[in-house]
Order: sequence, then C-alpha cells, then structure tokens
Amino acid sequence: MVNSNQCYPNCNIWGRLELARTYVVPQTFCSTFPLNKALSTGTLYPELLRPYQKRRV
Amino acid sequence: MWVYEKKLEYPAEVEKSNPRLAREIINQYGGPDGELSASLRYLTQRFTMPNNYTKALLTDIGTEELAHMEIIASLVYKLTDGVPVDELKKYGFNDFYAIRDKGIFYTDSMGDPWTAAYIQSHGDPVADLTDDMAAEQKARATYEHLMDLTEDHKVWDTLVFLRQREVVHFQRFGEVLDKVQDERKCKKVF
Amino acid sequence: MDRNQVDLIKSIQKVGFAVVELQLYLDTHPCDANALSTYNCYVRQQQNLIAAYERMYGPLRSNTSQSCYPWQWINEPWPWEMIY
Repeated sequence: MVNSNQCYPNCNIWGRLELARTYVVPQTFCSTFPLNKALSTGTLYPELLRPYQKRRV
Repeated sequence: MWVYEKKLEYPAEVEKSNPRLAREIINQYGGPDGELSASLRYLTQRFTMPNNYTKALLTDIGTEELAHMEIIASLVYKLTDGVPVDELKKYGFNDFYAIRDKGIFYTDSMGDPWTAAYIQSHGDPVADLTDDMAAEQKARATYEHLMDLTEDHKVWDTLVFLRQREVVHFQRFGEVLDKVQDERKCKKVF
Repeated sequence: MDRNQVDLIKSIQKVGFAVVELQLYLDTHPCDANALSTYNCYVRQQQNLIAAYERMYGPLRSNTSQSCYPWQWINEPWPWEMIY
C-alpha cells in the first residue's frame, strides 16, 4: 500500500515491535505552521497538535 | 554555562489581576509536576545518559523548562501586581500574603513548598526516560485542570502554549527512549 | 516601551520558538538535512532580528553583545514587566 500521508513515517517500525517496551512513532519532518500559528498553538508541527477543550462537568 | 535572554519564550499576558488564579497557577511553578521539577529533573538526569541524542535532548528540554518557569512566575506576578490587601483577602491569597506578601515562591497550589522528593534520577536511562514521559503527561493533565479553572482569555492562551509543549516533549522523549532501548538490545545479545 | 520595540520582541519570540522546535527535532533526527536547513534559515533570521533590537534598545542576551556607556544591561523592560 502506498503511504498517502507523507508526514507519517515510512520506516516500518511495526515489524520489530517487542513486548514490555514503550513506543512512540518517530516523527518525520514535513510541513510546518506559519510562525504566528506555531507560537500561538505551542508547536511548529501540525501533526503534533493536540488541542484541549475546556471541561464543563 | 547558560546565557540569559531578556525576553519570555511566550508573551505571558493577563486580562486583569486575579489572586485566586495566581494561587492556582503557582502549582506549575513549585508543584510536583511544575516547571521547576521538570527543569531540574532533566538537567540532572542528563549526566548519566548513554548517548548524545539523549544528552542533547535533556539539556535542551531542561533549558526550555527554565523558560517556562519564568512564564509561570510572570503570570503570577501580573495576576497579583497592584492588588490591594483586602482584595487579596477576598480571593483567598491571605495565607500566602501572611508569609511572603506577593513574593514569588516555589510552592504548590496548597502552599506546600517544593521538594527534591518530587523528582528522580536513577542512573538507568530507560527508567529515567520513562519517568520523563510520565512527567510530561502529568504536567499536561495539570495544565488542563488549570485551563478548566481559567476564565481569563489571555491566561488561557499562555496555558494552551505550555500544555502543547508537554505533548511535543513527550514525543521527543519517546524518540530517544526508542534509540536507547535499541542500543541496549544490541549490547545484550551474547 | 514603544510600539516598534514590542513588535521586535514579538518577532524574536516567533522566530525563536521555531528555532527551539527545530532544535529539539534535530536532537532526535540529526541526519534530517531538510529540517537542518530550515533550522539554519531561522537562526539567521533570529540573529538579524536580535542585532536590530540590540542596536536600538540595548542588550537582549547577557554577555554576547557590547554595551555603550553607561552599562545598558540594567535597563528596563524586564521580561515579566513587559506589556505587549
């Protein structure tokens, strides 16, 4: 299958997964936010953005 | 050696003074998963790290956390600056005031002073880096609690920035942990 | 603080943040040539902005720039007192 998202790592880390180990998928440098948006969101990288909604209850 | 820049990493602003919010936010200055804990944890763990990726990353994130500490202190300063004593009393800042006036000090939101017992250094890179990833998640959760308590839009914006930094740092620690574990595996094959 | 000084500080914060983000990325991806050239580009921009700021408003970094007389480092604004 062709990797349609270029920002996603191409290397097949899933082939060497082991038990009892912590994994984070390595980031691949791709697009970046404009500088204004990077500072206001707290990251230069769109794929790392995890916004938070205020909890009401 | 460090070099100081006479500016904040992010322009910490407040809409208006708010001693109650200052009291809550100080938790990220001297609380268990605050910025002082983060900075000192990374800057002391780096000495026994096995590779250069990890030494560099702990140095750089530890340094960035010092900048975050300065942002938090600036928020607390601005939220209490110019507030008269009767207002401080009204918003529950009186027990802080009794000891230190408006002096900025390393405590959590309950007033408990910072202690080195909040942080760890085990000389084991897998243990330390996993601890660091957990620390970033705990700090993220604390920022979300603070955001739930905030009505000040400008303070909110600063908390958005600081919370997202925890997410990015988590990613970076995960990336170096992967390298450390791979290197360790190579060494352990007999 | 005049408007121009505030705008310069804000520009330095924006470029400086991109430099921080790229630095952390490069710590774990030192062979990413694309990220490295982006980093170098932003560092150059940052140097130019800081030089422009320091020419007009005095030292921003302790011990990397000269001071005219009298010693400029003690001057306002301190970071926590800045109004943007």
